[in-house]
Amino acid sequence: MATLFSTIIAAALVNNLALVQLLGVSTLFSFSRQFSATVELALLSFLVLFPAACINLLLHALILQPLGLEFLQLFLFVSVSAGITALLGQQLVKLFPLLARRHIRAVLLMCSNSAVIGLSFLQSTSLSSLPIKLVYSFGAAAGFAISLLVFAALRQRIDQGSSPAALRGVPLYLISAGIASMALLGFAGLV
Amino acid sequence: MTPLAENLFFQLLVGGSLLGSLLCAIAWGVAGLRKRLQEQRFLVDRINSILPQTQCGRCGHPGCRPYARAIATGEAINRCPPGGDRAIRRLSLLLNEARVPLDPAHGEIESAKVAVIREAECIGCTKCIVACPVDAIIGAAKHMHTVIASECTGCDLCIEPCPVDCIDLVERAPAFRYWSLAALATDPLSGEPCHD
Amino acid sequence: MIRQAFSDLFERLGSTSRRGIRPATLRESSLRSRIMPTPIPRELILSLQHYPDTSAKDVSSMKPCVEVGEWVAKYQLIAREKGPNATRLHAPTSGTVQAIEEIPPAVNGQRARLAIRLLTDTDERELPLEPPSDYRSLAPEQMIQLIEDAGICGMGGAGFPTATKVRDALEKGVKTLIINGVECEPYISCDEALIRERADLTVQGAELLQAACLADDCVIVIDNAMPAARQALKEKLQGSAIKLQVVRRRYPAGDERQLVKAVCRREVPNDGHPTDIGVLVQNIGTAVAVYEAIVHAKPCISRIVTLTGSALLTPKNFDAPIGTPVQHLLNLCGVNENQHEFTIRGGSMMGQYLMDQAAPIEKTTNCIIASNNAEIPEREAEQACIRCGYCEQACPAQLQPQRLLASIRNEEWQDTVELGLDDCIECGACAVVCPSRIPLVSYFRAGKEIHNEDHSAQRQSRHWQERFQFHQYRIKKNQEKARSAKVAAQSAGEEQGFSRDQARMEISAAVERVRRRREALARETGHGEEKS
Ligand code: SF4
Ligand code: SF4
Repeated sequence: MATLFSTIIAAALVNNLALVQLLGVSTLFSFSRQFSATVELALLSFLVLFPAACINLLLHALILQPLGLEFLQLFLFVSVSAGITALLGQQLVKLFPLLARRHIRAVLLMCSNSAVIGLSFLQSTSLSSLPIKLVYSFGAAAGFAISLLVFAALRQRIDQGSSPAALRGVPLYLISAGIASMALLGFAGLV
Repeated sequence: MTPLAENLFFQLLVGGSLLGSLLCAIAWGVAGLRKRLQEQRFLVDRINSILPQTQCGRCGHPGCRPYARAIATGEAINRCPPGGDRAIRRLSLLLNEARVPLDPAHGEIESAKVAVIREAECIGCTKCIVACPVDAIIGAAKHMHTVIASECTGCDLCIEPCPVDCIDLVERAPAFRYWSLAALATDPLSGEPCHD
Repeated sequence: MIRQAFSDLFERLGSTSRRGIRPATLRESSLRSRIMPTPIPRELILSLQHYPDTSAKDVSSMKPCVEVGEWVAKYQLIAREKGPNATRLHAPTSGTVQAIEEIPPAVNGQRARLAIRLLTDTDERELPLEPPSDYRSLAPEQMIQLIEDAGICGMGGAGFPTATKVRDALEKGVKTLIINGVECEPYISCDEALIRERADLTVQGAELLQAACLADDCVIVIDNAMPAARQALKEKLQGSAIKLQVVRRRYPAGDERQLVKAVCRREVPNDGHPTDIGVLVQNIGTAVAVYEAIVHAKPCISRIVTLTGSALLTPKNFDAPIGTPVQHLLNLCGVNENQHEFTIRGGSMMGQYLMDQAAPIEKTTNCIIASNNAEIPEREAEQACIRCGYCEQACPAQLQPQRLLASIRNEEWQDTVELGLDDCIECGACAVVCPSRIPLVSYFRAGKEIHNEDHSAQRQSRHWQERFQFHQYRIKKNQEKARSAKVAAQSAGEEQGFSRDQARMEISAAVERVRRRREALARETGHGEEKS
């Protein structure tokens, strides 16, 4: 139990996908200034990341590895995540027209998101057991969603504060992303 | 002395709280989802409520609601001149799109207008009544017509049909504003802006 | 008991009582003398725009019921309310109506409004008052009627008609009546003077108000910086069911919401009134006016006004007739002209610069400050926000002024709504503590103004939408009607097709008719041709 707990913490904070491992950073910058819209997006990215990583890992462990087909893994990972995204996108348009209208570009972007692929890659090469890997994916997905939310709030303040003209916009986002990732490094001693 | 992580009590505590928070999160998520689901159904209504409802058709659609429907399926949000900057701003927030200036192909931002009939010249042809989208003109055949100012949206649809050109669009008096953000951010002594 | 302990603890830990600011008390000078009756000025100006609503479109909210040149007696009704948000107006003394005309706005942002100019005479002939024979046996509704007849409105500054408020409370049912004697503005002392000298009337007024709104209990709240008033009240309250509560003196402890929270430990919902949680708040001055109205049937024709500020030689409280020009009162106090740079109406925190010294005292005017820049500095240039967080600690409404400021400056109206701009009570505490001298509260007022504009635009557009929908419905219905009429006509034609004779007869009749008309026409035109 304690291992599970520390795995989740490690995945969500210490090895935060976006801010520490720098996977899927583009997501942080391209999304909404509005906090309430970002909540939807965070949920969405969690819903893509977690199942995609799980399916990838399962397929990798149960099919590719026994058959010695590991060289196919990139092909597999990409197609799985694209498939999930496509399915999700379909349902989204049907059930949540507003959300789909808001985030359709984000959904498309997510199908080849480096966060999904990177997470699957890292975990498929790690030495821990399959359940731990799955739990790790859960934590990583949650951590990604959290960093999206945190960054949306941060962006709101950055946009509204008065800042030097040369730094306004993306430069300040990058600087603050750097500071945020340094702050997350502080969690390193936690587990 | 066993390490803390192997203590059964500790494990139960951590596991229980994790499980509990997970359940709470799921319950919260489901509740939120249902609320959102209800909100979502009215996407067109929400967009429509941002549009100014002048029904002028300058966006290229017959009325505001058709334009709202078009926006919901992906049309550009900057085609409504009467809504101006404010409508674009609010639409961009709602739909998470970039804030763009008004599309000049559809007109320019103007202040609010109201139609006025020069009553002496009106011949009572009733053509303007037919054109008015909000029934803001009263009159009868061969009698003088007039515009109910409070109901007029200033859409200019009645100008064209009038055979004797006796309808004018005049500016509505803007609302009285006591405060000005610009004046607040200026130095009261030197009159220069305080920042930047 | 436990709940009480907890809420005490929470209060200690943070929220209201520590919020707000503690400005210096500057009331002593005006409290040195007793309340002074005012010699009747030569002319009274009775504004017909009662409600201090600067956005009101109309020039008057009351309708005069006297004519120019008419002589009126003291206490005579001279104007009636036009709408629900106004009260009645009575002549404060006898005299002749000189004019009913527009007077210039008293403060910035107000519009010109209608007023009655009353040329006073010295006889003070009054209408006989008809007090109820036994005011203790009156029903609540009768009492409220008396309050309404007397034209009483909230004397604290907001000026909402008291009768409306009490009636609303009676309908909703209130548990607690709070009489507000807390004076948190640094200069204003009219309530304290009133309690000090007329504590018995205050208590009786409170009792009558309680009887009028059928509240279970009644609390008089004062602050801890008025010992004399406290002593006087304590004596009068002996043997009475009314409780006395003393709160710490902080600005803005006298605000309605703050007061309800301090007394009942419950918060007023942000989109509601205290009556929604069973509380009615009335000002001390209102209570006294209610006493006069119910016991003596005396209309509200005067009020207590504080005149203070360093430019006055003898600051004091006046019992001034409504309509007295400010200049008259200033003269009575003696003005040191070298020191007099401006006059403020209202307190130094919430008040506004008076633009016209001839402006009258109104039912809501509680204070006039004649002062200068050295005492009350005017606005300085603002500096950038340093995010010190002082404003956030001072805000009694528990908002985050610095974030509100940022979103207003960037015109992010959605954010300002989410941050609670509409809950700001415009107390100005944040602006006072701000080390960067940012006039935060002015920004918030500006933001609220734009919000209101937005709301009315939205209301307008909803209305237009409804009309458009109705228009479409009407067109559709007309088309359907036309179509069905056509169908009906067709089927009717078919039905009649069966009796050919009748059809033939009808046709020949029609032909005949046309022929005759044509002949008549030909005759006429022939006539005309002959003529021409
Ligand atoms: S003016 Fe508004 S924001 Fe400032 S302290 Fe008062 S309530 Fe808070
Ligand atoms: S008090 Fe003034 S400087 Fe300090 S945080 Fe508030 S606005 Fe900024």
